[in-house]
Amino acid sequence: MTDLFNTAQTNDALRAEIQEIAHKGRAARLVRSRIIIALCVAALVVAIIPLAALSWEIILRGVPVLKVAFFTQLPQVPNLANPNLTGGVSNAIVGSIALVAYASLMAIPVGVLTGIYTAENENRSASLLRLMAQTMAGAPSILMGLFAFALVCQQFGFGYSAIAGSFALAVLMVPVIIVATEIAVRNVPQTLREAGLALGARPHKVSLSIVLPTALSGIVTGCILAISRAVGEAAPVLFTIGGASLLNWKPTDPVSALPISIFIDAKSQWPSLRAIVFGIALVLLIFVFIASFTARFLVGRQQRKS
Amino acid sequence: MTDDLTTKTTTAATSSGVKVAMQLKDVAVSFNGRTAVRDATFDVAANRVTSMIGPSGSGKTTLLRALNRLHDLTPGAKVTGQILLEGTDIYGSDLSVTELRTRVGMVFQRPNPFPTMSIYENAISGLRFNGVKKKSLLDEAAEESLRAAALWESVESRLNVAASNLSGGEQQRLCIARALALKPEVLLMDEPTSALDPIATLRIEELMSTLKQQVTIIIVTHNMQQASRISDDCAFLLMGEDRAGELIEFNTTEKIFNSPIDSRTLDYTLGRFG
Amino acid sequence: MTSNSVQISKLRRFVVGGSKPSTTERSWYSYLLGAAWVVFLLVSALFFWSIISKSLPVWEKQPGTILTGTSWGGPYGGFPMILGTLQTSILALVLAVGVGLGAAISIVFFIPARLRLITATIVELLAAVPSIIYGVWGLLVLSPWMLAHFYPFLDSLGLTFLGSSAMATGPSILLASIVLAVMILPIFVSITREVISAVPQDLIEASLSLGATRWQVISKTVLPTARIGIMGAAFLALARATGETVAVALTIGTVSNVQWHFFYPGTTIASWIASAFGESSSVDIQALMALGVILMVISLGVSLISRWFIARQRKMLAKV
Repeated sequence: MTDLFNTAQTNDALRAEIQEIAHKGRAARLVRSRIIIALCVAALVVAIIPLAALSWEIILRGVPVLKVAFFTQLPQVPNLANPNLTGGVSNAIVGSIALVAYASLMAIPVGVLTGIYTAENENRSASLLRLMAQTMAGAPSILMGLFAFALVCQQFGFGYSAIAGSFALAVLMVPVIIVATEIAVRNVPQTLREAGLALGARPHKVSLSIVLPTALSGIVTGCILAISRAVGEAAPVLFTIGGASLLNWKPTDPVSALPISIFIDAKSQWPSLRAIVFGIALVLLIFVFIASFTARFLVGRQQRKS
Repeated sequence: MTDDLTTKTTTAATSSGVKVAMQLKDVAVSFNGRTAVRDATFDVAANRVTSMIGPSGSGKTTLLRALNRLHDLTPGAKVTGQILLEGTDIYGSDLSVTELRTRVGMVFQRPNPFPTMSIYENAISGLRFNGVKKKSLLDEAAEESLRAAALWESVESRLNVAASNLSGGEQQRLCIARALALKPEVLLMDEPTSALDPIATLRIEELMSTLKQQVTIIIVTHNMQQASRISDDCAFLLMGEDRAGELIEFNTTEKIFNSPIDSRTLDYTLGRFG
Repeated sequence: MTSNSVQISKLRRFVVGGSKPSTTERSWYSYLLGAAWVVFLLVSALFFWSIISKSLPVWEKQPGTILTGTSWGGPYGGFPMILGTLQTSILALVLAVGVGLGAAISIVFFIPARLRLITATIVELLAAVPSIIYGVWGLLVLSPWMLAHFYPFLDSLGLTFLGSSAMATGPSILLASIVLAVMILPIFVSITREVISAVPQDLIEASLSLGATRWQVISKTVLPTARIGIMGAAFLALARATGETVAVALTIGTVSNVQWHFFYPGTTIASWIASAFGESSSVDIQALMALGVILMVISLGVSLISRWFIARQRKMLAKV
């Protein structure tokens, strides 16, 4: 290893040359770094602005609309004599509740049970299920509407009905619940399960009485998020529920829904109807934010416990 | 804790007039108010290998990382005392932190070549960061640094291959080359062989004696046999009762291992704890 | 055992899962789970089948026209919708990535730790807002503002290929793209954040130790290492943009012709299906189903690409 380097002098010369070049551009590099970093932070501000602007507008224009009549009256159509005659959205409220209730009845059992299965098994069927759930979770929601129309409205002959809309919503909700359930069950420490088995309990008993209660808050969180999504979705129900101007709620009746009321009224020529839209939007927004915070809270509490 | 450890503040080197590369004076590092290491005072002689030894938790790595201001990254970290590089305060306003880091390089515990870059690009990455564009200069620096890390022969035919193709030991030598390409004055090494197999470890240890002719090396190691093999000077640190590391003794390696002044140093080198 | 019963017990094992040798464990629990996931698979399969089968007549009679034809009704031409989907999604992606990359980098590196939770929560809340609300905000709030200020501003920059702001009515490709960008931003930011945070800390320290500035560390080390994952995030956002329905339906104006000027109304597959369904005959509906199939293919294809990227990123980081 005698001749690994140049002589000391050449080395020093190289060092000096490198330092000189480095020194020359240094100030510019530092300034450039600061500018670009400022731009990145600006981008963050820009990213937050829409939420702020949106929430602000909706609160501003929505609060005046939220009178009692808004919640209790049926909708009415303004005319030239009464341009501000708008009524309320009680039909849409009832319809939305019915839709989400039926959808949850269908989606939660299927979703939670399937999620438990994929969490507890590592075979081919579980992998297929996971792939399917991920694919369906990312599918455009309007396709669920098309599906429900083809199957429930036409094939099963229900026509425009609450059951068709709920079916579409359920198809939307199940993949979300599956993924959340699987994560929640997988997060239960393996040691807990092993302890149960070691005490002689049979596997399914271990799942039911030990694993599930521990995973419960995660599962509930998944269901809350799925419900929250279903309430706000317009595309799947757009052409499956038909719309109703009465307080319909039976599965076979055509019903109304809050997002649909928004969709229709927003394009109305009457400013008074367009104003109602903000009230509905505010209600939806509050609901969704509460659901989101509840989910966060539950997840946080679970994390603190473990 | 006794106060008569005058060896803490002398260096075997300065007393014989050898050039000093870095000086530490009462250096302490704390995180959010909790002291991690303190009372570090010693001089690092130029063109020698200075090792920092001691059991885990004694603050060796914390102290090492203060020398190239890596603690600037950590919110809540505070470095007090004075650290001089060739007489200039590294926390002062005369020396920008980016310049400091071109003059004080670092090699880490686990080999960490940049995964998206080739061997060549890794070697010159430091130069590129600092605006060096001249191809001839880059090529020359790459070859020199790879030779210095004893890697040139095995990679010269495949310089454009991804760095992840190298073995662990080769990757670490690539990291050494990467640091050397900037021609720093000091090279900090944080347990550079602890993640490597014995043969790779030996190859890197063999580099030390030739490397130190060009750079001053400060190496943290938990392997005291390694320290006794490769280092000229040695600093022994230990965690005190308040869980803060402190410098116990600093002297030539020969003295630390054969005739230490502090009984704790003796206990450590004899393997009585660690 | 007869071959029949062998097959039945194989099927049973496939459905109720596990490779447990004991067959006495087939409790009601296993059957319950089995029933659930069989239902799910069945419904999912029906999902694809029913849309595809309803659209079969179209594929048999006029496969070419549905893809390239430019008018709707009579021969059903889906080209304006396909084009519009690409126009809005790609523009939305460009805007979302431009802002989202900087935002994600800020959250990971430059925001002090205590603020990080708040900003991350805000971005997450953006994701939870129903798309109809974005649509309404776009139509009733953003659109008037853009008509009054933004279109003229762009006009003054001389971007005549966008159309003339005097002739703009509000709903437009540009408006829809901006609303879409706001909608897909949260998912892009959240995945990009994850990918960027996964870059090992010691690579960052190694770069700093070589004298790099903070931005150099990000642009020359972090971003190249995370590049594949960021591509995955982008494609995932793109997939979402292609499928978005009501927000686009409210803001794009929904016409059935090809439109190249972004100031003017256009159309996309999803918004067209939503708008045209109400007045469609059963033959029309077949064509809409065909459009649905096209949308399925586009959205699925982009999602698969995204998943491929993200899997590759995970593999690469495992090696580091």
